[in-house]
Amino acid sequence: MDEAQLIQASRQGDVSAFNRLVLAYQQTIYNLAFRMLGEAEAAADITQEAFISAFRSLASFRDGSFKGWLLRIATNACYDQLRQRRRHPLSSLEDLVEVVEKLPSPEAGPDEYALRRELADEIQRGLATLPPEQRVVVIMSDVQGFSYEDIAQATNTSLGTVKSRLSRGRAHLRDYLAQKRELLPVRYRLSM
Amino acid sequence: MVPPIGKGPECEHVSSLLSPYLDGRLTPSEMAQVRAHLEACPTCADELRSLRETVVLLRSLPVLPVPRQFTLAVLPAPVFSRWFFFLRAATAGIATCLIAVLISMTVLLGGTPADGTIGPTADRPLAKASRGMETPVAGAPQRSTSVPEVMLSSQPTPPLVPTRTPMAGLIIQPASAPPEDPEGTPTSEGRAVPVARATITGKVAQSGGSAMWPLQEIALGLFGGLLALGSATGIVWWQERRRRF
Repeated sequence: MDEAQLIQASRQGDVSAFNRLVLAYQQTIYNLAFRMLGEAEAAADITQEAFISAFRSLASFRDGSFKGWLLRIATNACYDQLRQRRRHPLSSLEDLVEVVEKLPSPEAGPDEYALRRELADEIQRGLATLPPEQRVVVIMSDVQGFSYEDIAQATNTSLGTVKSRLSRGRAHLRDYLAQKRELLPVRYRLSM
Repeated sequence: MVPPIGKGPECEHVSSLLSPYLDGRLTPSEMAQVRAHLEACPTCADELRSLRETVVLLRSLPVLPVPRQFTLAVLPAPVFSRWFFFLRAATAGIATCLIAVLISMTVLLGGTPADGTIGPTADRPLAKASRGMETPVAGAPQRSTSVPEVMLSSQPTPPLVPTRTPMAGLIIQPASAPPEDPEGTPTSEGRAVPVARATITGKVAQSGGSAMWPLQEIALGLFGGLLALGSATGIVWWQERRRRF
């Protein structure tokens, strides 16, 4: 069955069909949630919540990109989570960033592995300093490689808004990484 | 040509276009404008380079494996609690009772003779109909809640509507009939105009039954119970269905 057929079957309550869609998109949704929240456990919860919510509201899905619709649900769930954190701050923003990522086994040796991990941690901290609206656009565009159109649908905004948010987010992140230049591995330092 | 030092107004404008320039999302004329400016402005060229490096760094982030599967569980059929089954059975029981009462009411109110009257007629004397009930005394005034008067006339009976009395449950009387006429009105033929008041009680008594149930009250009570239990069953069903996944 193709995606449209799976969606149609899911609308009629076929959980098995929906689970095939889950398997197709769970990594995308989880990565978005992790980059947005910087915490593995919270990202897993948001991912599960997004799929449950999607299954319940499949009737409201009209023609268009299912991936974009799913990303919008996950994005809204991330916004809710971030708002909740702002209302009930448990720790500093820096502490919320979970720096341990499950990187693949280092093939280039432990030094290279450590460097990459250090870099990933610093970028993740930089992402956490962006406003959520810019963060989600930067993640979708530069980390996940989505088109402007997909991002516009997922964030329910216009292409112009996507462009401007992406421009400001990239500039902000560049400034952040430039400030942390000394902390970055030499080969990954920005040239400015 | 001396390159500009610092950022001028054109640099500000070009700076805002660098991000979509990297993605190739500018119009051809904007692309040409930015390209021309970058050739002449090392500051903006550096800015573009650092922006490109930032994007490259972001793209170097690894795709994380999922920590677990996020598929939804398909639960086995009996997912509802005992409460749901209890409420559903109670609702069904009340619905059955209500149907039975409604059928009883229909049977008691129906089965009218061919002349359209209800209750005792000349063919069905009151003496038989009122067995076990109060016995009418000749010449004595009758109470409004008494058993039916004898119907002596063959005149057509006015339409009947059900009303209630405290003792006898349903009573049938003409919609436009005067409330009290215990004696009946003699006519020129010397017959009494029918008071046309009959009771379900009379029917019950005539058929040999002695129970007098306030059927309307029972039906209303059952209907109320059915609404309450049906609503509760629906709420429990909805809540438990939400917990399935």
